[in-house]
Amino acid sequence: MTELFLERAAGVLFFWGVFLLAPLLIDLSTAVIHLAAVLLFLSPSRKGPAAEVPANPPFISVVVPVYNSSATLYQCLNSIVHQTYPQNRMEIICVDNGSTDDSFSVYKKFQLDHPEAVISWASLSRPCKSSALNAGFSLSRGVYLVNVDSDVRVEKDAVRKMIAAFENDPLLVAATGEIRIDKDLGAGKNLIDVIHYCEALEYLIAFSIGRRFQTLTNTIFTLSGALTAFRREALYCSHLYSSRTLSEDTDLSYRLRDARKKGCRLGCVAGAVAYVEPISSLDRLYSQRVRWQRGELEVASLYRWDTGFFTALTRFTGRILISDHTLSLSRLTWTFLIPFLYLLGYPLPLVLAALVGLYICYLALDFIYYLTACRYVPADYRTGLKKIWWAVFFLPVFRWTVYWFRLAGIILALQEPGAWRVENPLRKAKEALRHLVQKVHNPASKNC
Amino acid sequence: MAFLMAAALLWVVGLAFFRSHRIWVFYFPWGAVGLTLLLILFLRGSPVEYHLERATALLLQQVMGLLSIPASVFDRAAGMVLVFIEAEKSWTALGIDIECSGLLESCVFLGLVFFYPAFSLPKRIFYASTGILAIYLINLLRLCTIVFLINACGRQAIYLAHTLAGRLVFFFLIVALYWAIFSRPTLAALRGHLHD
Repeated sequence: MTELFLERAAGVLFFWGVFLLAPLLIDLSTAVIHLAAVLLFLSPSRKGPAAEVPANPPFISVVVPVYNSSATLYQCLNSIVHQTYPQNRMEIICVDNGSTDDSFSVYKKFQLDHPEAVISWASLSRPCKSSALNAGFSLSRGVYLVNVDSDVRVEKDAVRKMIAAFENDPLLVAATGEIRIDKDLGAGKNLIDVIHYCEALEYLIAFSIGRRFQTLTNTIFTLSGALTAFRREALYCSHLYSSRTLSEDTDLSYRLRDARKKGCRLGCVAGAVAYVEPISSLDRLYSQRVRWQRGELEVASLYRWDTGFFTALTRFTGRILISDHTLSLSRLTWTFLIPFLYLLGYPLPLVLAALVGLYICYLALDFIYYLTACRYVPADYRTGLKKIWWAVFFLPVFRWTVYWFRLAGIILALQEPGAWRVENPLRKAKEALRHLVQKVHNPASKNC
Repeated sequence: MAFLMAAALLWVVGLAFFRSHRIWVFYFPWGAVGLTLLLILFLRGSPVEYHLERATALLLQQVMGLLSIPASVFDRAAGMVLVFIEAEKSWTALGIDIECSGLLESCVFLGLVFFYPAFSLPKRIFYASTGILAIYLINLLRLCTIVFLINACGRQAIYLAHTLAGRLVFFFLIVALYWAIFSRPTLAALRGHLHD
């Protein structure tokens, strides 16, 4: 009896849930390829001797775009001047782009506290991260150019590891670091803490497995804006950052691929770690994911991705677009249709079992990713990750929530002009409803 | 029927509210999902479903005839097809109901195409009509796959043919259709916005 029930539930799941399972199937096939490649070619036990910078290290420039960063700027600059890379071979350029807080005071204090640091400040009048970075690069003198976001804390070996990677691989033209969430793992149990843990796990999987695989196959999709280094000539050949899309880092990564065509590579330097602040609220998470999704579509649209389906299937970006755009539309309706099957005559336990089955499939995938990714982090970070193993149970729910945020990104990309921060639609709807109720109760107030 | 009319009214009011306040993030899902559910509720058990199932069964019989697989339809049971199983030298009956007629998938598609933000009205109408035709043909191909597998492998292949093989064929081609109708025009529209 149970067997028959499970068979029927699986039938409902595979037959009706195919559009919900599809992203999982794509993730699963990607996971199998990623994990196989990463475990086979990048196994921790296979790690060779660490690449080192030469005895006479090249001069480098670190550019920090600043926008209302008074809360985080000091910590960021502090982490840069405490790098194991020789300080006399490094300059730091902060480029403010329209801050209205006291970021400059923080900078002045830092300069007084660290007179040995070669550090300068430039100002632009309007907020534009791309312009700030480009201005910083044009003021720089380094052979290698590193950009570090002002809300980032860089681990002390990160810059040395990145420059060593360039020095030991002449074909490497740009590299991103491994980005992690700056959070005391396991310390809190509130909702926002759980969201932070999910974010930490998401970044862990994305960088420890995803970016490693992309490095291996030379298919880096985005050089993270939080910590990226470039060979000067390659960056200038790519015409620097552009503000035409909301995802300037993905846009630049695409343009650098032209260099890749000449045999060069983009990569992620394992162990070059930068910590970013966790998202402060669901509003911010919504804004961030809307921006990412919109940016991804905008960049893809500029690089003529209007190819046929089968061509798209054979290419890395095409597969990302199919998963993030094509399937997300059918997933929208089927999310509501599966429970609706109950009204079409399917027994409720069967529908519920199918939904639980769906959750278990996603959970299993996340556990495999989590366990594999843990192999690639240092012991101290792994200890923290072990404390939050239970957060993996929330990861499918987190991804599901993020799916809705990204769907909003698709819709807004087609309906509204681009903006760094977007309004919470729930708040907008509540406000509109409040006005409507007010109008109904007091029609005379419409002129007020 | 009163429940359906009330649901439709609520849906229209919601649409008007989201549209007038430009809350597109809710307008699109509310419109697409709402239209899909309403279409399913209105069309279930309607003459449209009856004729669709009947036409699908007849067409399936014709296609099977071309492939030399004996099949016949019942006059008094719309959507019921008798298929000869070569492996077992016997016959089996396949029922084409709302689940197998492609009606649900067509409703999902119509919901999306009528509310997706990238299209003008003429384009919506064009995509809706070509899309529905394509879904009908894709579903027919799915049914052919199922019948072909049952004919060749016998009754024990029914679950596999129906739930997995047929569905995979259907899914793959539907994704290709969605790519052509939604993703490509989206990229084109965005490129236009960025160049503007």
